Amino acid sequence: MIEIRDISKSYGDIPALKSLSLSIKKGEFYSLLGPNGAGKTTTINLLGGLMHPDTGEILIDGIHLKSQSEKVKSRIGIVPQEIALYDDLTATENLRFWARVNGLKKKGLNTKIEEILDFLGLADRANQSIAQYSGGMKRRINIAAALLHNPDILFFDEPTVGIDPQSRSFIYSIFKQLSEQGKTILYTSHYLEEVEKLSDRIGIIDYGKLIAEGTFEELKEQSGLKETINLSFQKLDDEVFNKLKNSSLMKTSLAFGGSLEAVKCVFIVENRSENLHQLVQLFADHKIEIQQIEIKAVDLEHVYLSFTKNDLRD
Amino acid sequence: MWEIAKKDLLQFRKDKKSLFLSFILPIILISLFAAIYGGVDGKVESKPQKLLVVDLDTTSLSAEIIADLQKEPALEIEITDFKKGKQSLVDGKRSALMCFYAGFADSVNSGKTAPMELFYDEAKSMEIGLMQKALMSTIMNFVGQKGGKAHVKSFINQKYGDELPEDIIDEINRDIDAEFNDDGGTTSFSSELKTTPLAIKEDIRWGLIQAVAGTMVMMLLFSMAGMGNSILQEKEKGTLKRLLFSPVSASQFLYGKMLSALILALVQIIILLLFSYFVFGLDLFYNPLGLLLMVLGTAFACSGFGIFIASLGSSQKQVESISTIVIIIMSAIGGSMIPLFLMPAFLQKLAMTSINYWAIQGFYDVFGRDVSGSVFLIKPLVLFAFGIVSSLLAGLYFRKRVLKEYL
Repeated sequence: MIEIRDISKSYGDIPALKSLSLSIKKGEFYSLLGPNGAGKTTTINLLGGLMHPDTGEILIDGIHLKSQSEKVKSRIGIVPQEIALYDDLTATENLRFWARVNGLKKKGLNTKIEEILDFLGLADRANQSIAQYSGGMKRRINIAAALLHNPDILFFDEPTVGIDPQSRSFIYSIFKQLSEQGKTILYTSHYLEEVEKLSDRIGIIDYGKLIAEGTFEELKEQSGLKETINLSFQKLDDEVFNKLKNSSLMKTSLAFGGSLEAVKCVFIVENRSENLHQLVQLFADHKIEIQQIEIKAVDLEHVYLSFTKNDLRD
Repeated sequence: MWEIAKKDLLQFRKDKKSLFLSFILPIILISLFAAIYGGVDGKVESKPQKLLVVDLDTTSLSAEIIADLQKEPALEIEITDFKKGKQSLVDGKRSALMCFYAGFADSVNSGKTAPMELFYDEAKSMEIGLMQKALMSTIMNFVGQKGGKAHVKSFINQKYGDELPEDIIDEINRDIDAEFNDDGGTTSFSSELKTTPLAIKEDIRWGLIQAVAGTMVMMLLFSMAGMGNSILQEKEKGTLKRLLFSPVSASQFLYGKMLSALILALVQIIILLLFSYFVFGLDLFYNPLGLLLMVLGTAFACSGFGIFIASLGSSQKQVESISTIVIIIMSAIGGSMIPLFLMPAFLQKLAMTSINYWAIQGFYDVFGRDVSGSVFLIKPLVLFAFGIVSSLLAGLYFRKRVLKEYL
């Protein structure tokens, strides 16, 4: 559906994208992650036909974006980072305008607008100016403006910035519905928990290059990160410590941290539920009282940071 | 308290727009008005006023008075024939025409009222007032000197010729010759200078036309700059980017903006003209076709100016500053604030680079002057040319400056 082939883009002497290639299948929810300045917004700007790559090509459903941008653009809906609406116009007026510039006919438009406002829970505020809306309400209208012309490809660039958890949760439910409707979605966000839940595949981009790509499980595997079980217990005597150290579980554990004096140890495990059961049993057998168990799962944030490292970006 | 003041001054220093409006703009305006009013200690010369002269007498005396007029520093004499001269006046190319009719020399020599007439463009009556001062002084001196003796002799002859003996009359004439020679002496003789305004109808209110046209164009430029500024507002708000993601090209966006500015300008002009019609009685229907052309031309030029100004800046603040100074300067030199004839020569020439000049002159034509078609048409045509050039330049700069981060 979306093919990015070896594209590069520079702003003056500053390279934004370096030979980026990726492909998104029809109906796929693809998230593009990366630190600030990694090239995510440039990628969306290129895909939206706002600018053209210096080298490489972009194909949407086999159509070259550069040569037939108008044809392609009518099939795309873009939700930008900014709340790109007219504050002094009402929600209805805003939606009517965006629908018209995206090629929708006047006939039946009012009904469509009413339907979408109703769906967004904003029907009773339809004739209020956007300036009077809360941040969450504005975000919903911002999304609606990209949906009215029923595009089969959607680009969401940080669409949930600065809103409360309730509104965010509502918006995620919209994304889920769109995905279920078979829309092809390219999504960027810094809310990684939701990205993990929503995405079919994830691409991680840094310094203008795609550095990792796959499903969450595939990325986790590529990162080499394992889950950890942290245990806190009373101080052990030599005998118990040696027994513990020589137990079969300890031999199969990937790592064992801690010492005789320590009151904590960390297990990096392959299979969390099986290993946890064995650990609890082992400590019980040796009559060691466990004071605290902390299970640290590998989530997308860990994976993401393992690829992009912790150093701050511009 | 001092800390608050210090902080405010620091903010003021960082606000380039405020700095500009507080210091640079007043300096520019002071310089401009000083130049206009000639306050720059002799550095700016006032422009001699052009006076058409028609000599229908063609005598040595009429040639002599024209030579005297040519020596007058406040006047720039152009000799012409009556038909051409009058047409120049009608077309608004010149402000006044002085005609010395046949019989001028005979009348002066015989002490009769000399046949001469000053025709002038009523739209420029203030300008003529200043010209008349120089003109009257030269003419009256000349006629007074030349015609004074003849007039007094003729008067005495008529009044006392029958009562006094001939030798007494001769003696009186000799005394008059001795007392009033050509190079000195005084005479109470004065001749009448007939002045005739060339207007197409009686009740034209030129002051009203100047006020309406001048103010309307200036305010229109401000509104159009504001409309143009919405381009930058859309950029800063993100709606421009969103529009460019949709099947809308950069040119469609820019010229869509110009179209909305044009419509607003038309509505603004129509409302202001209707207000002037109903409240002040401005006659809108003397030349309806010409008025239509002027309204369209002015609206088109101003809307083109609006998007051109917007395309020059990269932020709203920048554009507000640029547009404020450009509009004030254009209005000052173009005749919206000060009548053109008060300005020095170089500013009068510079005025032709402003939209205000062409719009005001065009509105003068359609409200009161009976100018020929070609003379009138140049005004709306220049305005359309302003609109075309500025909108083309806007297209160029819009891509270079406003869209630079997207390209």
